Amino acid sequence: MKDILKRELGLWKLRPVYVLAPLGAMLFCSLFFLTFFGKGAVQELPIAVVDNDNSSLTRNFIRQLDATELGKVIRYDDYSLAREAMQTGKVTAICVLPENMYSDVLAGRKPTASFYLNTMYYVGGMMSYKNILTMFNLSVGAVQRETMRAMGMAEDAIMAKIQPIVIDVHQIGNPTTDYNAYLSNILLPGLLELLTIIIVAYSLGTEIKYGTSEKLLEMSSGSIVKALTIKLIPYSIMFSVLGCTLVLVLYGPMGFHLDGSIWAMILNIVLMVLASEAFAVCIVALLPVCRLAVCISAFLGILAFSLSGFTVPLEQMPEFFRGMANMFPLRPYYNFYVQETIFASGFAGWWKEVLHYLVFFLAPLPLLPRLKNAFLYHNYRRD
Amino acid sequence: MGYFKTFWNDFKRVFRQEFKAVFTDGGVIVVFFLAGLGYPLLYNLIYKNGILEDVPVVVIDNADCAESRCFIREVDATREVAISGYCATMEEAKKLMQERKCHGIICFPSDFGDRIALGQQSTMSIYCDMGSFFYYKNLMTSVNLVMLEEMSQISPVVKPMSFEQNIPYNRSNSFSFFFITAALMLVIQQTMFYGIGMLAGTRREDRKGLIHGASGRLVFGRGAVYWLIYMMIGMYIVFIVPLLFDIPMVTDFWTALAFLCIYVTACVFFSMAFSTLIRHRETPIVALLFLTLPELFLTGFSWPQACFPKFWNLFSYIFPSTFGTRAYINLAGAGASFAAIAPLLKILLIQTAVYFAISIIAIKTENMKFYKKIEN
Repeated sequence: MKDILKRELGLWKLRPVYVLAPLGAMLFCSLFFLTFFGKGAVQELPIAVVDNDNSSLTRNFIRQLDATELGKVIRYDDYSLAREAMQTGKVTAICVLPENMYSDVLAGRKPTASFYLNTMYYVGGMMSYKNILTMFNLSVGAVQRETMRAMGMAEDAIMAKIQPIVIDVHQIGNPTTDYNAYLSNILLPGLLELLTIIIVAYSLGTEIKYGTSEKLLEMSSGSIVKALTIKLIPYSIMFSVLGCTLVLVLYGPMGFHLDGSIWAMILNIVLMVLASEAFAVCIVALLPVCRLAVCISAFLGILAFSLSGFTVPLEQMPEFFRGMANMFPLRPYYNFYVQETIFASGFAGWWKEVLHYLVFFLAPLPLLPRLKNAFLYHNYRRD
Repeated sequence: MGYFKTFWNDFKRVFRQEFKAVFTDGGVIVVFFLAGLGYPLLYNLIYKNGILEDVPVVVIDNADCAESRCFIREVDATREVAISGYCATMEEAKKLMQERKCHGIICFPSDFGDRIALGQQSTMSIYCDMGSFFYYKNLMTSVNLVMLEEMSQISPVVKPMSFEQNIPYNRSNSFSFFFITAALMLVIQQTMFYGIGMLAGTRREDRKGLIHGASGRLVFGRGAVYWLIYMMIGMYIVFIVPLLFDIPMVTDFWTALAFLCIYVTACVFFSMAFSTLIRHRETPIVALLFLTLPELFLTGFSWPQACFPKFWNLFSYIFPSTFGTRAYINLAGAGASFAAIAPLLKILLIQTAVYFAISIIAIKTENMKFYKKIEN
């Protein structure tokens, strides 16, 4: 056993890519995602305003819109200029205030303002829309309040007239609607899954590519289970350490919402790493050609992000993909994460996911004889 | 004249060699053709339903009055949300949410109707499952729409001004349109990048493919192969895929083609420049696949570009995908004119020139080193 471990570490020394690639990738992407979204809330989003009225009412509205945390007003002289800015993504929304708006309001002629949105830039478009709508409704309310004050109504009666129903929103699991927490919580573990699959597939593939697999089997006295288990120990340790560090960073210094226990999340990510290794073993057993195994792992691994269902929920995808999603270890990771971080439901909430992970560990068993043949006889093209 | 002849002959030789290399390498075929042609289909199938409908939500109606019942009926009638059941207590509702049988809770306090009748403000609470932002968005949209509608019925105050909204592009706020248009352009660059990297890695492993003092011919000869293959894949992505899946493609054929030419050229030289760093054939996928994620977000398709931190904004200038994707979204989604996307194309052209120069210099130094080694 010691010999195989020693041999594996020797291989790491020979090809440092095994260690440097996952380390570098995790470090870079963690830095990227954890800094890219800033505070996790959209701020100072450019909104185009075409003010055809230029009255105190419209100027006040524009100042208010500009003063919101979300928006930054860019004024355009006419609609076609603003439209061009929207078409090129410089702004994601346009607000056109009509001529004589103020005098129409005073005369009770109900002027109509127009909003245009570009939801091809989804987040920007939706956020700007929400912002404009809020500010517009506030302006409407302000005018109504002035009128009612002049009629001599009491202040709370006015509020009940203007806004009879107030909605109190509770966001369970992400109280600040933090975009950073929402994405990084799954994107970074997903990346770890992808790296684990690819590196393990590559490592097993190179054994076949350079014909060193016979030696490995010889050292484990012909047992493929023993050979794989011991060979993968250093990888399991490396990726588990990376995973635990990631979990500690996400729920420690980054302060992402975690209602449950950090130990459960550590268990979750370690299980995901092991399941990903099993996934890689399956791929190499099915396709014992290094280049193909690596390419197919990459091809499938990228799909895992979409199929985990953390952005577009799974129930909206066609049935085939709902099934396929369970093929990837990121799916039970996501379900486990929801149970633990959002609902803190403990073992009762996530025991099914643990079973799901167990299926991954059993999946390579029927394929092992095939892998053993490939290891021994190289009955596939070697490169 | 002699120079041009050798140039042309070498070009043809390199072209033929590379063409053969592409089609005899299983890995490259997987990356170029399986991924290049397959991803656009797969992503379109995965996101076929671009709109999330009828998110299950439960109600705790402590008020049980006409107003709350009307509110519930109207929420149920919206496209976004479906009322999946009623709960007597918060505990019961919470349990359903934890089991993920519902993704939201609407709760009316017992004095909801009474306060409305007394002309006072009534507060209701909603609880959203933040496991996916789409649940949150749907519940918020639906409840807000109904609230505005209800309010105008409860207290018919004259609105001093009104608004109209227009969503000229992506009218239904479909998720798939905005994600897929960005993903399509990234597929072009990424599959090309990894494929070319693998070819370069193989060449270095086998120590092949050097011609003494002929870097221009190598770059042009190989580049021409990649360019032709990717113009084909690109035309499939830009013209055929949108037809198959009804993705918006509001620009005309020639504008799209001109854009594609510029984008593919930039991607070819970008990939060739970086491929000179690769020593082993599996390295690009093993060590650089992770770049796909940051590159996707740097296109600004999701997190708006106006909110990028300065450093990452500068960093995004490395990749042609940043500008190619933006240009394509504007062209295909919003029907921007060629003149409107010209600034983006200009950056792509500058990238082309820079990466071309880097490729030439890199191959020249590599050749020089190699022949020096032989001479020694």
